[in-house]
Amino acid sequence: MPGLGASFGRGAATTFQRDLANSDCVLIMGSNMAEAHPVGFRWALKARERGARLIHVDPRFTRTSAMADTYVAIRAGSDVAFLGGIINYLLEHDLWFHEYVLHFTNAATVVAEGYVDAEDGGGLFAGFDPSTGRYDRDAGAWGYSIAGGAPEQDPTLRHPRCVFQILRRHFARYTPQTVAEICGCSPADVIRVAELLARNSGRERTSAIVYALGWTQHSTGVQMIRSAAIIQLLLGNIGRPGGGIMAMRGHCSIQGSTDLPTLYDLLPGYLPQPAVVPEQATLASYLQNGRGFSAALNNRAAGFWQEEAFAGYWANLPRFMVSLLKAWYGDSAARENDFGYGWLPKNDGDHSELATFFRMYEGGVRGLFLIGQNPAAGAPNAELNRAALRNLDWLVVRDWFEHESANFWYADPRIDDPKKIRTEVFFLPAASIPEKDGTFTNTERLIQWHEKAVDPPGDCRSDAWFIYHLGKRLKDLYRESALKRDEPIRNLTWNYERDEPERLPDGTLSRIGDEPDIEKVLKEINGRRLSDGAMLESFAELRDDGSTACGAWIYCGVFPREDFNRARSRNPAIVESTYPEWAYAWPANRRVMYNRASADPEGRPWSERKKLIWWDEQQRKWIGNDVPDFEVAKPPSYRPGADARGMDAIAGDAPFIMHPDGRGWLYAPSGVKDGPLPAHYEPRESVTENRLYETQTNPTLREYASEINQLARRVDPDFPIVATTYRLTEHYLSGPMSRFNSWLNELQPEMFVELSPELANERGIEHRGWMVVATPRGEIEARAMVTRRIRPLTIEGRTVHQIGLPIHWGYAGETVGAIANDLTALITDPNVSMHEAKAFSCKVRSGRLARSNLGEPVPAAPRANRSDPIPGTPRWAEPEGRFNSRGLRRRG
Amino acid sequence: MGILADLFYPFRRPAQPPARPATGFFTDTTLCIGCKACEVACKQWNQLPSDGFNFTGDSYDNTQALSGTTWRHVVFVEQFPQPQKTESGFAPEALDIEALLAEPPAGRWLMMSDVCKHCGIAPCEIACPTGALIVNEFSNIYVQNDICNGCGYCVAACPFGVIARSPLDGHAHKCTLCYDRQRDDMPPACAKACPTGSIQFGPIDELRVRAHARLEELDARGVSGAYLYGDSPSASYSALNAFFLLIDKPDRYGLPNDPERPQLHLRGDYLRAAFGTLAALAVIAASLMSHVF
Amino acid sequence: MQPRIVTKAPPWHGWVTADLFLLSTASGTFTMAAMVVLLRPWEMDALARAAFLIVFPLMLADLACLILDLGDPARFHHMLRTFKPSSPMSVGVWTISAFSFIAFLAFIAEILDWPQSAIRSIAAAGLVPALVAGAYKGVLFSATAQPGWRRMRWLGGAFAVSSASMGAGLMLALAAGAGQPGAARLFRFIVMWLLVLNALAVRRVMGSTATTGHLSDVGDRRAALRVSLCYTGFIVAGLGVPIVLCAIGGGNSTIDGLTAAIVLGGGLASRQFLVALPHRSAPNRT
Repeated sequence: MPGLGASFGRGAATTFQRDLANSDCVLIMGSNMAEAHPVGFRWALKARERGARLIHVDPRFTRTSAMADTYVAIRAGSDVAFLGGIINYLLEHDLWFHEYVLHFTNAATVVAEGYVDAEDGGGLFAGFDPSTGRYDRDAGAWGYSIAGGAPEQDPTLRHPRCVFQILRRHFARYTPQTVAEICGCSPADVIRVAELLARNSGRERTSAIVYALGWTQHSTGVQMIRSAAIIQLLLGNIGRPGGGIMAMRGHCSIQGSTDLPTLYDLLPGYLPQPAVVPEQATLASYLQNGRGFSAALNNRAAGFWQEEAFAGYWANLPRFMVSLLKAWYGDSAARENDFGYGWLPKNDGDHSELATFFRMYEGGVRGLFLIGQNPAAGAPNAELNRAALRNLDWLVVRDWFEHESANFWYADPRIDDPKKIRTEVFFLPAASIPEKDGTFTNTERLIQWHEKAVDPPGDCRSDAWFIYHLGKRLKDLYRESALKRDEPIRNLTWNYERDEPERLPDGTLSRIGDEPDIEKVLKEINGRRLSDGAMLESFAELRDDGSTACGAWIYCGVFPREDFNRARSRNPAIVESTYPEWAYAWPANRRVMYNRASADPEGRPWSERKKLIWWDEQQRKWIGNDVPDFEVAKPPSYRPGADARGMDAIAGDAPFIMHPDGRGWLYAPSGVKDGPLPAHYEPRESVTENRLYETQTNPTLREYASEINQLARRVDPDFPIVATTYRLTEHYLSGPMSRFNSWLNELQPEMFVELSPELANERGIEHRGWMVVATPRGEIEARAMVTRRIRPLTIEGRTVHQIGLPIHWGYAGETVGAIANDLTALITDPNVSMHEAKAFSCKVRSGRLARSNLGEPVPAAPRANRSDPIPGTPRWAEPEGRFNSRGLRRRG
Repeated sequence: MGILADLFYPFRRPAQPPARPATGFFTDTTLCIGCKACEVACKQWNQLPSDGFNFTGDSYDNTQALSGTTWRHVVFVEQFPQPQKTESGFAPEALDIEALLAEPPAGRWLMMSDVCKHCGIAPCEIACPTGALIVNEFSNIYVQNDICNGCGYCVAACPFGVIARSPLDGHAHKCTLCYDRQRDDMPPACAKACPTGSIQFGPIDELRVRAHARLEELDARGVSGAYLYGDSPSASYSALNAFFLLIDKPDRYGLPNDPERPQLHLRGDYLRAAFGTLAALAVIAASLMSHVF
Repeated sequence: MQPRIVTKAPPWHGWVTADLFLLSTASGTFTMAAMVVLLRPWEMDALARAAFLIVFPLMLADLACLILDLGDPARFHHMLRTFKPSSPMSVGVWTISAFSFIAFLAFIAEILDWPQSAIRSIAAAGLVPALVAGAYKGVLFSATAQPGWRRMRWLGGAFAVSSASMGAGLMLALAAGAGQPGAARLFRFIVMWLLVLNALAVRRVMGSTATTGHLSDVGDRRAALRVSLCYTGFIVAGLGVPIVLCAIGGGNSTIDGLTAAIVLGGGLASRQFLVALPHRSAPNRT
């Protein structure tokens, strides 16, 4: 999440969901929290009940809007403009938190000469290379101005090139009127939201911003998050109770999957994946040139960074990296062989999911393991993804049910002859969550253990079981090999064998004898001191001499003792505003990150009401209700000397310790690939011209141009309607887990399209009737849900219609329906290769397709043993609904 | 053997469990986010089958009503005015920020999780000719599955349309207030699953106090039109042990505005029936005794 | 806006209609026969005997309907585990049980040709259960929450009179069939006055329609209109015609038969109409 990473230092939500209850105002935007995260939403609701204002800004009036005090409808994809309007209003009306901004952000820092803002470059920042469609990383045009070895500062904020003035100029044209015309709302809406945020921020009050996939799935998603970060920094809401930016993740452990990444360009703990470049050929050169943070985000900026990158927490990179290599390669990793650095795969290009599937479509991938993923319905341009699957030699699918990506070769209604599909598909049944041990790392970085309750039925096994045994077999295969290329597998530590047979919670022996010991995996991630094998309690204990092993430095501390799994702790006790004994939050069980900012530069809480941690002069340390995100004994008055390195280079009043300058970045000199400041670009498929810049769309977005991935023209009159995709509470993702459950299916049984009565009238579409939605990629048919919750917007004097498409259906399951992702396009943003499913253009008509492509539902599974008594259970203890027409007999 | 046992089984009267404090639900619709977790939790705990997959287009309400196999049902009511044209000639200087912030939202989407009302005086329980419907030790109205013979009179008696006869077994079913869970000191599945505290379970006295406090709280927050439905008895109906906090008229949520206890006129009805009987008898007797014939 | 109807229609259909019809006929017939046996035994003893022979089979058929109408027919006897005056259904079940037993006794008595005194005792003992059985269904319906039923305060009275008139109608048919013009004349007279009474009772039932308007319970206007038309048709065809026939059709056994058929048919039709009422007005899934 470079949006947050570049702004604050770590790419994760800055706070935790429960903390929303401490907010005085919660802005939910790009998120339908009540529907997609109903359990977390309770805290937002609690805040409302305590008198906070709840604001929802969204193209659709959703169940979240129903709970909000203020709702603003905007055009999908216009979020940067709306947020820019708020920034403009805060700056022009002097509503920002002066002391916070001056000390804790880089507002006073002067940017190097040669920087060109989008304002002057027609929507392009300095350094854009039209031939590659990228900003030139080495041009250094976004860097700070260096004076005397440190970034130049102007505490008066008057320097024309200081960040504050740049910000002001950059957002000068984002006036409420202009923004309203872009977004289709009224100027008063922009002012209302800005005022609410401003009035509920400052010393005494804090506001929080919540976002989710509604911001990330855009070609400008990272910049939307950056805009929110700028607002929160200007209002002084980061690092304080009830403040922050809450990133709501789309999957239950997606945070975990970026922490211990399934990403191609990161190693566990956000260490950069080494690349195939001469500068990273050896461990030493990797540590020297990879430069932790900046390389992790694949961006390198101007001279300041070359010189000073060893400031901040990333100076510890060698300790993290060497400990990781020791965890992976064990005794084989030694100083002499670079701790096995050479065995790490080196990155040679874009291997993100979408890029890989495009290569698969083009024939560049032969085999695929698909574990808990359903690209045939869930990925953008689903037909492209299905074509990619059809191009494989072999495919292994592990899941609970035979979903679209497993049965595409015969169940896809567009397939005429299954014999012509060459892909050999292996479907392996997977265990579900209560059938296996493991952890979830949720959106607030909270590592939570879940216990296995029962054995999975039949041949279902945990994914860990599959990976573990696959690994064992691979190691067996290469055991005798003397080839150098096989060393990575031969030297990999791979022992998660159980010491004792597995037992279920009721004490009985598990039927499955060979499940790996998941706690051993978590212990390896936590790390040990190798001299005595003791578990590490903190990543401060990590060493770069090979004496510690740690699978992910950020998780260090989750298993501090051999018998103490903190992810498993379940003490709900609340300490002021946090609950430190409920599971474990990385890093170091910190609940609110950058919490040094909850105290003023001198270390005193900004206010009694919003205190979190503070400097205690007697004890000479930081104390409070949370684990300080700061060196505990560093006084507020500390100032680094000229030669200071690492954490010593961070001043006592600089809360953002992951950044080399310790400040929150209003202006991001590095870390973001499409500009140091957010600029409004239209979605790739937009119904209107960019009103602010000549540059219509994000200049750095990647289009996967192809026959199967056609895109609409610029402001294409053939596709005049804005479409957005979304989730319903009743289903999950593309439905592989929910569409096989009749309890959920009866709640939302059919694919529908939400549209306004005005659009329905215009196109003769009837409520509950059939309608067709088409984009250049394809067309789908679905039921029409005509509702006033969708309202037409006025953009530049004309009426613009929007429609909403739930993403939950496909051709597998008890209920079948059109796949919304048949309409979406495969285009990706430059930072995280995220696609743009939340804003695209389409056309609609009444009626059905000539050839329906909904598919055949599988019969709904009867609830097991509905009328049979449960063996060994007295009649009165059986579930009430276990209807038994012969209930009298055989009573217990 | 079996047949004999079946014949005598219903006449056995096991000892009644001692009374416990009356429990009930307080459903606060201002906190309901329409997630339907209550519906699913109820079906899952009680092992109730789905009622079929019917897209209704009635907002997000596809289960439509309580039934013999749906014991919690979330009602969705969309209330949106005709959209107005956005104002032209916006003048930021003339803007009254205070008025702007106080402006109420233009539309609303009401949600309510409906359930058996567990009436203080329950018509279904009074009507039941078998005694299958009982007031259990928690003062909840409970159908004894093994006694009910499916006569359907409770269905006719319920003014809320709650209880229904399931075609699966021919017996009447409705919310049990998770009697089985209560006996194990656990809250009902729906209340447990509700993420926002819209469904609150507890001793009914406590709930009523809580509900009144909640009303005051809402009043202080400026929420207009909030009131309690079924909190106290009306002229024609008892108080409900599962009562609601609503912000619009009851019938907007599918509740009767003014429920009436069906047995309210029972004595009079019996008398009128007797009167009719006597009248008919008089005609017959007079004719038979007449010497005209 | 019409308030939404939220009640569920009870799962009662054809079996219940048949039950209402059979029970009314049986109880009315028994009442007539018992009254005859008690008040005019000398004249129409044969007719009374024939009636007693009919009542019990009618009751058997009725019991079958009652049982089949249950969701779980194997559990009819569960209704006998408790007696609840608060539940007209419970009152009815006990009454029907008692009445069936007496009807059975009467049947046996006729078959075995028990002495007159025994039959008179049976008739006297059966009179109360028969009358209650003829009337309670009306209370059963009116003591519900169903639109259309719940405001029919006089439905019990109407049922009582209707049952009696149906019994008298059957007796009229028997008398006409047996060629007993005197008895036919008597029963014609009784039928006529009972029908007049019936019309008054129906008027009471409908009266509440006019004043407090239970038709306002009925969701849509067209349904309300249909209901009104049905009422009117019921009054005119079901009550008016046989009254006129009774008044003018002296001595013609065909006309007497027709009269009886209309009375019985009208009874059946009005009961079917009554049973269907909630289904018509409360759209739901039962």
